Amino acid sequence: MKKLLSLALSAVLLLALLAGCGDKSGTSNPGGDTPASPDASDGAGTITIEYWNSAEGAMATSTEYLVNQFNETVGKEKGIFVNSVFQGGDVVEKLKTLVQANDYKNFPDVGQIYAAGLSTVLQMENLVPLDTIYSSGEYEITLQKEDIYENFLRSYTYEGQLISLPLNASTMLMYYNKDAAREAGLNPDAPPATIEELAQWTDKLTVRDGSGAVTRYGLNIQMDRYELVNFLSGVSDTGCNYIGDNGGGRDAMISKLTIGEDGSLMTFLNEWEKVIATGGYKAVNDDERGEFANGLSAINFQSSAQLAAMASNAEGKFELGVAPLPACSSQYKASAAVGGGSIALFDKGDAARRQAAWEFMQFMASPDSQMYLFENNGYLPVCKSAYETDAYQAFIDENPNAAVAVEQLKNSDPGMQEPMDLINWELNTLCKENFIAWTAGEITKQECHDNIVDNFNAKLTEYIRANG
Amino acid sequence: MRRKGLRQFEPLAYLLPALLFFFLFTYYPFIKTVFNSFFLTNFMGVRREFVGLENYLRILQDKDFLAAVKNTFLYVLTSVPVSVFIALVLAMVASRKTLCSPVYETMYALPMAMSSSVCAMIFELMYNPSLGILNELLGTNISWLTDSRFTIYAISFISVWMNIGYNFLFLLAAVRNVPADLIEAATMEGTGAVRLTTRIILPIISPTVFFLIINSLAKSMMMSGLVIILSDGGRSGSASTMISYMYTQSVNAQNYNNGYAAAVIAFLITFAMMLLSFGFEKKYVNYD
Amino acid sequence: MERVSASKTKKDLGKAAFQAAAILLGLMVLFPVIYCFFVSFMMPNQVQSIPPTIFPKEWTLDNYWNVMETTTIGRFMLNSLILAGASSVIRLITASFAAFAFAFYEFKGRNLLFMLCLGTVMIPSDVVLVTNYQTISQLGLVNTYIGMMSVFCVSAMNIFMMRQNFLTFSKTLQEAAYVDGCSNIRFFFKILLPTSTPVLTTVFISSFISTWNTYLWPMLVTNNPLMRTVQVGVTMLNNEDGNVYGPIMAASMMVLVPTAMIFLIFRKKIVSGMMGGAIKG
Repeated sequence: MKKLLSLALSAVLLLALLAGCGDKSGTSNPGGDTPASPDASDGAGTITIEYWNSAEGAMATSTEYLVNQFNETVGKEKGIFVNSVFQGGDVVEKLKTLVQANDYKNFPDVGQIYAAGLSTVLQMENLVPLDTIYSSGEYEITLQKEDIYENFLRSYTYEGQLISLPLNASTMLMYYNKDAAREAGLNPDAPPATIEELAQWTDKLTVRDGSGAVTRYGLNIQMDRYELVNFLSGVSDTGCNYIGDNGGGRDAMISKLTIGEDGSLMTFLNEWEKVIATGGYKAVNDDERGEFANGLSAINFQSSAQLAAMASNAEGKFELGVAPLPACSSQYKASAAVGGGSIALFDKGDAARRQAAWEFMQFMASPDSQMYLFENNGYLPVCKSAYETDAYQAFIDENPNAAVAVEQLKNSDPGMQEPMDLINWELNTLCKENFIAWTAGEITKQECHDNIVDNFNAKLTEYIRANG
Repeated sequence: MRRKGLRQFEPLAYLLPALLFFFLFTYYPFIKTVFNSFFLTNFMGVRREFVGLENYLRILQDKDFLAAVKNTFLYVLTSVPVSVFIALVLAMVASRKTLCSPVYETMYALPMAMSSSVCAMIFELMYNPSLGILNELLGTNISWLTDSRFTIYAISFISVWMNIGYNFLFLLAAVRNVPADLIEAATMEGTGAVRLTTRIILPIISPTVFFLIINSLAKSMMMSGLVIILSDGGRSGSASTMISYMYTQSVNAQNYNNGYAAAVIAFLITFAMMLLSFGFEKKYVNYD
Repeated sequence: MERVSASKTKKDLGKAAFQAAAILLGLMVLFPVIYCFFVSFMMPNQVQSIPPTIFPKEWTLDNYWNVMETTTIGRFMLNSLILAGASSVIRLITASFAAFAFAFYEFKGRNLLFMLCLGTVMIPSDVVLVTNYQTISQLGLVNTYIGMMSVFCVSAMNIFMMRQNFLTFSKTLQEAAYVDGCSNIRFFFKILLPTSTPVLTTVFISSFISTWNTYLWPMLVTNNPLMRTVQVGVTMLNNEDGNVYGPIMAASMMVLVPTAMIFLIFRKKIVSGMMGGAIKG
């Protein structure tokens, strides 16, 4: 009994003690072994800003490196200290909670925003659109807007306003097993360029055992929203398919899908039918990468940010091939949409802080930082000048696969981006479930088409009623 | 002795700290949610227009929600009895203290220490149809998590496993507290192990068993985390529960209208089940 | 004589077999954890290979180094320890008082209040998250340990469990205490709690583990890398673009050590209640 009481007592004491420390330890790095953070009171006008990120795994290590780099160079020079805070897989979810609780006081200065969260962030009143920075003349500009790749700019633009600065960009690539292609009598250096060719490859690459059961699928891809958008990208008379009205939700809120009425979805489904007909296409993601690495499938589509992981998985097993996305058919051009994340600036009511935060953002998007992310994490540099550096050339020479991603980006229409649909999760579910059902033969092509278009439009109507 | 008037407030004083926390952090926010569920709300959860029962009527006609209700009951039916039963068997095995018992006691209880996100990941690895250890060991070829015929049971199995340790811990404490002379007397009379358990031990530990059933029931009715993490591949709708529906609607689909209403309906259904279970308390639970 | 010793040997053999079977059963129950342990020592390309294997072909500590490099797992563990330790003690206090009231008093509205308590279990935490954040931020408790543990200070299931235990408390013992002039509060502290060590310990262990593993709330109310808890650390390793199983399993094994220790330390208390002893004596 006494023990219990004393335990309780000491816990309460501990609590009080920690509550006291908790408030003061606001500035520090997640690294631990990094140099001690400057004390806020050591004065000399050091501004501490907060950077909230979703950097996981290798990206966490890179983020820590870049933030330290900033603090020791530009930061030291200009009296800025960046405190980097990991906020889980999605910073926007947390920001949303803060807005709902009307707690703007605890907002960060800079936050890492993924494409799916953009439509939420742009409605936050303390967001600083970056065009105001470029036009106001109050900020020091080291990264010209013109230096940022058009594709990435477009990806983070709404109603003509640049919402956030691209940070870690990627595109989707086709990964294939060159050894398997050779065995099947295909030319491993001429990967499929259209869906029809993809179907031929799928057919030839599929291996069945004595009983006819598939032991290696020619192709494994779960058709999520992002995948479908990429495949539909070039299916348009103008060479750029916005998927939804209002420029894919970038000129104003999206109100309906256009891929039904303009026939582009059906055009694609007609081609994709050939893939399904091979019987060697697996539409479910059990673990696409793991199965591909173990020769259970021969073609797979993944982000360019996975180049390193895909290569290391294939090492010693087979020769990995990387190619741009195939076009819908020979009359259309393939175009890849930008994936990945960006950084947004939030107003904390202090011009000096905004300037400091902008300084940090420019550092993160600078050619040097971007090359660091390219080399270590496979993210494509967002500024054009990075592609002219010697470091870029040297890296590309050693990693020809990375060049494929860059080449694909250069060939892509900047207008082609994911639609800005606030309820992208609904579209994702519809795409995935209907493609699986269609592949399994449970529904027809027409049903797959109608289910996606009609159900999503119904969801959009519901959403607009509640939010419009 | 104190005055009667004052004594009446004594139990309330003991309850005060608990009730205070409950009100502040559970009922106050929940009442807000119930209130909001009668409104049309935007993606930030801000009320826009009073719509009465419309949100409820909509989700009650939504086949996804109805499937989620059905799935929730399936989870309850498959996981609650199994996890309590297995834990009881383990507690009986470990009931006697021996040289080795600390070893296996720890082994039986340790599953409870794993967080659900980590469990999800371990089982995801084991369940993989071609690369996972499970099909390899069983000699089967089943897509545990992406074949809609198996998903619910595969996920239910994980929650059973996660609950075993917790249930075992409480049952062990209860079983070890059964007076030794009672057991000895019964053993002398030649009572078999099963009979001993059902006739003598079970009635004595019935308060604990009752607690565990209610606890597992509530946990299964509220099940969501595993479902959200694991049904990403394949057809997610086939495994969703009331709470995972609520979560995906409000967080992923930015639709608090459906989310709030689902939360309230889930509360009502679970509460009804709990009241039903307490109806059995007087009949089967023995506190003497 | 011989016969007796033979049957004794047989009995001993039976006992040994039982012990072996019990341990074998333990290995089966623990299989996912054991598997997790082995995966944490595997090279990344062996985690998923054909045929799948349980044992590492080549043992490596890389995954553990990866965890140390990516996260400050030690600091995270300290935070979780503070959070779980303190809130479990508070839970014990709030729950034992409440259970005392529910088990030993008759008063108006008792059943209603008890049901209200249990009702809290049926309210999903996602529903109350935003409002609770609002409360905490208005109280100025964002970025404090108090804010972090605030929502974990009471658990209906703990109250329920203790009520179950208190209800079995011998009525005669209670009456005897009152006859001796023992006040209610003295009875609670001097007799009831000391005889309830097993349940107090089980409640402590179970609530320690559940708070140790919480993720969302502690992350929501703190914006300080020094206040992150272990599950946030595990999440930091979950990178979509990499091979994550190894590092995550390694982190899980590291995170498991303190909870296993807590269990081992308190295990003895669970099984040596005074009730059993008193009746035996």
